[in-house]
Amino acid sequence: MFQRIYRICTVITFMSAGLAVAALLFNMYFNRLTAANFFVNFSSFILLLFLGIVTIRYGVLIWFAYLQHIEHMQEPPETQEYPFVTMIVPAYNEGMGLEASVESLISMDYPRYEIVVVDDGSTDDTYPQAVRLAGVYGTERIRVITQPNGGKASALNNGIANARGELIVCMDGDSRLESQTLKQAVKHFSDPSVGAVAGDVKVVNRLNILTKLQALEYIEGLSLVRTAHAFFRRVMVIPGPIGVFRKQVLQEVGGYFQDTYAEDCELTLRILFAGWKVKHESRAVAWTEAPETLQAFFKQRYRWSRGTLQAVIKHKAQLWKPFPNVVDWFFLWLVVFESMVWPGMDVFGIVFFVFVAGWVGLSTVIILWWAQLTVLDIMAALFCLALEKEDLRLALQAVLYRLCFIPYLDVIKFFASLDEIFGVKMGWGKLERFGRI
Amino acid sequence: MELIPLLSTVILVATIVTLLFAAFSYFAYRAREKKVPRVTTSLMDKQQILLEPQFFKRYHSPE
Repeated sequence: MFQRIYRICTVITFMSAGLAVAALLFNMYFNRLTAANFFVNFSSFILLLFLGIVTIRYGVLIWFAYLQHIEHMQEPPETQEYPFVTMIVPAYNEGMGLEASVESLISMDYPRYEIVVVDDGSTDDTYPQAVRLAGVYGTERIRVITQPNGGKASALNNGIANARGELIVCMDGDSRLESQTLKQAVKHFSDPSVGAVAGDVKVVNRLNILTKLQALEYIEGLSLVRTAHAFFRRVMVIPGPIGVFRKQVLQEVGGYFQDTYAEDCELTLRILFAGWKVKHESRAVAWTEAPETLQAFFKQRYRWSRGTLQAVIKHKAQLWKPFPNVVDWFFLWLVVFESMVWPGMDVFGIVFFVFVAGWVGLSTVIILWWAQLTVLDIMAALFCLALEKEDLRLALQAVLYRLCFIPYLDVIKFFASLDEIFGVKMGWGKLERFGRI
Repeated sequence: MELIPLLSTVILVATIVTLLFAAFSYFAYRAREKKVPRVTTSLMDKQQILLEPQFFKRYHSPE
């Protein structure tokens, strides 16, 4: 009990210090603007409002993520029941990483499960490899299905239709799961209202600055949001590399649809709007390979951004129905804010600061704005890295994260939003794998 | 030179370069996408493909 009180006090002190620094910078920023013209003052007011929203957002996310962490620590350490689980591995040209991925599944610490590899019309040696692995480990453990190339969604649906398990794990063909993943995820299904559980995705190939920044983003950006949403049992996106579903739920909502480029996000929204709870398990870990080049990174994030927007637009009717699911309604608007409004504000902020620095001469405004956001990022990074028992040195990337990574991402989201609004055509593309798993 | 104006300049330059680079990445991506020949398959075609009988390729071991 005293340890819990100590932890709560530490977190509150840490957050208060961070907010105090942020408030001081905020005040210094505001005082610099009193002598500027109307355009500068008005634009600064909008950006200050935005800065306030960002600060509150960080505070709220960290607070609810911490409450979820406290609650999580009180849950049973692992499942007491062992329903039969089907693990579906959709594979398209995954010859590089399929063996490592399947071998991680074979070593799963769980007594009752099967693996279904769905070859989605690969042109490399994915299918022969999968059949070889089935021969090595036994066709009772591994089944292989092949189909003409139809996309990840159709491969997953094919696997779901052939699944024998009560629970289904949907993952990527290049993901590697930890041995405790199934036990940790399955325990949540003792609650009959839980329809799905989102696992935790981490970057395995932390080889260059880009992949290290993505590793930080997965922990601070994606996992933090998922953990905070999990407090409300309303995780908005079950990640592609690791998601555990009741088969009944997938059948009820119709499985994966192929009409968006973010089929995982779209499926999660349907599950939530059908009334099911979606939880998050931080100990159900999937390691994945992040893009190592800017070109590959751009393609991936562009697809994610447009896919998320497509999913929201598909469910746009829910934006105007706050009841009966007020939390789902609010979180859906948050997704709209973070997909469209936030990147737009960031891009506007950058353009504004160029004007402010060049014509009005308030260059210190820039450093105060950047410093406040960086303080928030470092604070959130340290909190998340400590919570997930990750390498704290990743927090050093927070400076570059705010300076370059976030603006780059925001520009991608900005253009992706415009392309989606104007209906510009796009394709799937294929992320190049280097077999780092 | 004072520290704060120097830092402001560094931040501003880094941000502008990132912004321009991101915009360049976007236009390069669009140019690449236009060059890639796209096989358009309608939803009806995909459904037809999936309904056709599937014949598994027999795998022969190297030995």
